[in-house]
Amino acid sequence: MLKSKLIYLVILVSMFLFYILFVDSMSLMIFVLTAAFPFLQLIILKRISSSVKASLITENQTINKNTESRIIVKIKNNSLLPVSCAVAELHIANTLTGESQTLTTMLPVSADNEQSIKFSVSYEHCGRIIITLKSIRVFDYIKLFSKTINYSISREITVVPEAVSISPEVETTLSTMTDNEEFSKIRPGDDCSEIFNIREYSYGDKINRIHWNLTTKLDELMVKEYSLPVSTQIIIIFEFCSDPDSEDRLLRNDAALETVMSLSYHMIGNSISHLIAWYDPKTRMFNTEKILSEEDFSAFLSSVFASGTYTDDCSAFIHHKTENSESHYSHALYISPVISDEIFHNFSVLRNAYNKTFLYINNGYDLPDYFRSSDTAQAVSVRYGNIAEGLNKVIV
Amino acid sequence: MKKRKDNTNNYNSGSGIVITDSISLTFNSKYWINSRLILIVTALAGIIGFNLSFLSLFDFECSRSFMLSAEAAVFIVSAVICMFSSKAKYLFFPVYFLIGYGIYRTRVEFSCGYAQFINIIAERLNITQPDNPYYRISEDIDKVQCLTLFLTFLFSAEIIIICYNTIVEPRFNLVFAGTFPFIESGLIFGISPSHIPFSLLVSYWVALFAMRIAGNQYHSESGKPVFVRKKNMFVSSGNLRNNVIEDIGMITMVSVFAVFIAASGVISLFKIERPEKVKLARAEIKALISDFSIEKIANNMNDDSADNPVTEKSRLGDISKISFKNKTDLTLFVSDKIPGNLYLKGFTGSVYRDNTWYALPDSTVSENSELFKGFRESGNYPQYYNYSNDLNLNALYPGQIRKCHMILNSWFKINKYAFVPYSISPGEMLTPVNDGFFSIDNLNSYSYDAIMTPEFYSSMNMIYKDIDRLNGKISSSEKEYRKFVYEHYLLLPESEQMNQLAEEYSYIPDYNGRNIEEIYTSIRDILHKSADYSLEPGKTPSADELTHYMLTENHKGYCSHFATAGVVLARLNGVPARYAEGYIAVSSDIEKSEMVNFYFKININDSRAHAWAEFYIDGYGWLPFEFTPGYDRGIISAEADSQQEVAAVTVTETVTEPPEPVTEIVTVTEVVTEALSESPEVTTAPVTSAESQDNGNGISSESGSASGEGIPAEIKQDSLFIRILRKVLNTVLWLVLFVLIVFLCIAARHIIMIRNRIMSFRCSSNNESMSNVYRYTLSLLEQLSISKRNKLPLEFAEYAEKELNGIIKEGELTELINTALKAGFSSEEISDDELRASVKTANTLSDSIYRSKNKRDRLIFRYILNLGR
Repeated sequence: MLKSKLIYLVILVSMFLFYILFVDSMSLMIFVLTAAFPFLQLIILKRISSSVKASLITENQTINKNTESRIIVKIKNNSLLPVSCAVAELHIANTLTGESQTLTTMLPVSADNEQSIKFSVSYEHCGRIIITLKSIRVFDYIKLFSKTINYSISREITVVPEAVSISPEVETTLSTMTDNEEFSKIRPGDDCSEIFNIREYSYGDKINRIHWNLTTKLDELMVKEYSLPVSTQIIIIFEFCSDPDSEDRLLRNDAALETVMSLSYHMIGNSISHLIAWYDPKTRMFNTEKILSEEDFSAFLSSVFASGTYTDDCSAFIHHKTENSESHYSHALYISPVISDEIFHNFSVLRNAYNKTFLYINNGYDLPDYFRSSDTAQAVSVRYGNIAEGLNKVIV
Repeated sequence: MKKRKDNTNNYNSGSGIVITDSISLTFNSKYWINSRLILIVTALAGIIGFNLSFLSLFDFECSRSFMLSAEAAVFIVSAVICMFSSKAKYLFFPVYFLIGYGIYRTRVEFSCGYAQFINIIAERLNITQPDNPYYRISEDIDKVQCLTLFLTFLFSAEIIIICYNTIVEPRFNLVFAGTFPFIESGLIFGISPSHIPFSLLVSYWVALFAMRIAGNQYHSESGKPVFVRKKNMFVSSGNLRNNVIEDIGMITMVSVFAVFIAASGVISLFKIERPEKVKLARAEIKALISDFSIEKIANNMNDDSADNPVTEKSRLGDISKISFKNKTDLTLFVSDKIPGNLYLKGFTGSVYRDNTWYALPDSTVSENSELFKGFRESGNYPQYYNYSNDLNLNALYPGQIRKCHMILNSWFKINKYAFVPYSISPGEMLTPVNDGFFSIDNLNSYSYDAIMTPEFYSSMNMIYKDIDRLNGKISSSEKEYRKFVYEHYLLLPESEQMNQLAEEYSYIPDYNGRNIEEIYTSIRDILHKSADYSLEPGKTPSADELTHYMLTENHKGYCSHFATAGVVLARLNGVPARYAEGYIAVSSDIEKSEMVNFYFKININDSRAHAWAEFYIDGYGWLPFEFTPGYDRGIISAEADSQQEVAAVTVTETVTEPPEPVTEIVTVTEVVTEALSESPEVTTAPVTSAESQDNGNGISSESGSASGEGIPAEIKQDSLFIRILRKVLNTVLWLVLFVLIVFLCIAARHIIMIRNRIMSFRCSSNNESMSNVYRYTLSLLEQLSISKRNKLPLEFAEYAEKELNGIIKEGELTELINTALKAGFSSEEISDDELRASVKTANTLSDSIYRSKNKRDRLIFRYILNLGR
């Protein structure tokens, strides 16, 4: 624009000199025209700026990582005057990771027409994406003036983590030691206090499971299937902290989210209700969500995205230790992207959980020596980039 | 619904948000008017505007109907060709061929048409007369037909240029460069085209300019995407045909034309005329342009200060041409109306050396301090004996002697010496210094009493007749001063040329103390016969004596030259004489004076600066003698304000208008007038020529002819040959200047671009620097016809390595491209070493390419393409 202004200034001065030096009235006409031209452009600019409307549309509300999603900017010019140059600026920001991009498009807008510009954007990391159409800047025809039309229209997209399906062979050793009153309706278990189903004997069934009374009556070998206790005895302590200096902090975060999602979905799939405990750095509160369905998990995820990560290591674990000391759990799973000898030890000796699994999110290379399974706690290394490998080792 | 889409590689800025290159644009309605049709209409308007404007400038006698029919045909063909934008370039070849063939077949008529075309323009511009055309054309040839043919070809070529650069791709610069010079050929000489066609042409230019600016972000290349991506910015390219640019062109053209018509209507309706200030500004600018010369700039650069004329040491004859600003230099308030012209002397040149007048040296003054002291004590100065009480003027002019009080305001920045008339009483404010000056200690305003005798002021040259009648007592100090005068005011530099002058004009009678009239008349006649008055006498060669050169070779000069020559010839014949500079208030100035507080206020412009001679009359003192043509007869007063402008300054006007009343350009070099005001030590060079204005009954300006009764036509018109020669020389000089400026521009551009490139290699981000290095390398490779088109980077690297064939070390280019890829697509910053290695490779490549070229290509490579180091 500075170039245009300079060019115009040179022309104006030249025309003024021409007016002075050339005696015919034509020189005055040209000078008048040159002087009036910016005003003409201002009128045009005012007209088109009041006629340009814009809207923002996102095709998806929720998408997976690395999946393209369409953002549509609709620019409508109600005027009969075309717009020589409209510059639309979109701001895309991931509130969880702090990443942002500004996307600009510069294009002419036809007279009395509506144009839709579609962009495809994909996101490498989970989080909540805020897309804002900040403004549209329109120019006059010779780029002497411009006017910025502010919109600040925002749309939100949630980039959810990808759940990894855990192999069905995963060992389910739910405890029978606690008094449970809730049992799975779709899957048998080992709790002899409640019979899940009675069926015909098949090879490999244990002898002690044979229902002798019924076998006698039906004259056919029938076996009992015990129920699988499903209760709130499983708790996932989700540590969503990150080291700001760590280069792979975003990968660790994503892996942590995917791990918790995979475990949770696996349990939901098996109708196992469970608890997820996490720390909200914004409210400085320790929250525990009961997850019964995918909707519950989505609500949890949304809360986590809103609260964000924190830098204090093991805040969730410390809060759990202090606030949930009275509760007893058959299994406590601790998902953390950071580890230390002290934390691992403290988790291992946690008293209010019968089984304990420490899922350490890492790059798979520099595992500490103390991070080993013991009688008291199972140590599972979850390598980001391949979390399934680690998750399949988890004994739920 | 139409949709365009482009997909190329994605851009990853390193952030986790990846904006892919997939962008599409959808319109909800389709345009039914082809964008080309709008452009065709725009081009048509431009063609009509251009043709009619140009034809209206010069009255070409030709067959318009034939010409327009031919042009219409060419336009239709061009428009149709331009509809096929990508092939238009090639489709025009047959048209070019046809035009070329047509010219070849009619080459005789074509050349005659060209000759006639030039003749008409030259005649219209008053360069030639109808009976003496620029080109002689045989009477047997049908001039009208030839001219029609020539113009048809000329306009056909223009139509193709306009069509292609409007319809296929709007290019303002080319169209403007192709059309404006034709219109400018008339404008520069003050010829105005018809308003409506010219308005249409200007509207077309502005429309094209707006289209160019509005579409500036686009680049149109067939087969290229609709959107071009630069990082996260998507810019629509010229291939996005949504009628916007075309609509803008049409809207701009219509609105500009409407503004023109409205402005024209308002100007006609209200009869708006040019304000006086604008006229004055115009005169000043033209004077500045006219006054412009390289030597003047050099002189100014040599000055210690332009405002300090004391330091001025110009030689007479060093300034080839003088002009005026018409600014007021002095304002004089007089208590009584002056009956005739009034001389106000500021500087007295006593010593003549090297074509320069100097004041008496301080050593001479101090040696004779007693003499000057006596003057001061008695209050009688040799300059003003006629005022002295010793002289019985009342007896001489009974009842006509009037005492008059004068106040003079000076507009000079520095006022060291006063401008005083002859016959004053110095008073307290003026301190006599040297011999003939008054010091005023930088006063802007000073006053004195003067006496006025009718004869003295109406014709000073008559005074000497009355010496006998004066019969007054001669002061005793006069006798002593007379001795001093004869000792110092007869000296002349010794030279061969001076001897020649003495020999040449030996017939002038020697001074015997009584024959002043005879001597004066002889000298005046010699001067007037030998030289004409001119404001542009040209320079006097440094080795030549000014008087000799003027009288024997140049035969031209202005007041300074005439005054100097008069003094030199007088001294040669034994008359004590000296040179005087100052101002002259002519009778018209005095008549125009207005009454302010019982005083008559007279504004004296720079155009009134003047030089004259002083002769010493024994017993009477120094008296002014006029040798400048027109002044010598005492007829300089009337019609001082009706003059013509200097031809060189006002070519435009002399062609288009009758001479304007003079408020515009008069004559005096500012340098001179300022020097006059204050420089006693050194006489300035060229003085003035108020006389040049008086073409009423005095002296005409250089280009004008003497028109008053009884005044000889002293200024002869230059011959046509000389005028053409002068124009050619002017043109050559301007061309040289133009070429010089172009060279300077190219050099400046080269320096800036090289600097920019070096800076672009040192960005804050290495990745950004690397992308600049990569772009530079691609430009270099294109010089070797190694193009990246349609190749993946690594494919390109392999291909380029093969093509380079050892120009640079094998693998270096691949490494550079790899580094560029890393910089472009990796989140990591490349290292300084990698960047340095890439820059080195690029520079090596540049050097190799430079060495491989011939001299001409090397210049282009280095200074036009700016790809060298």
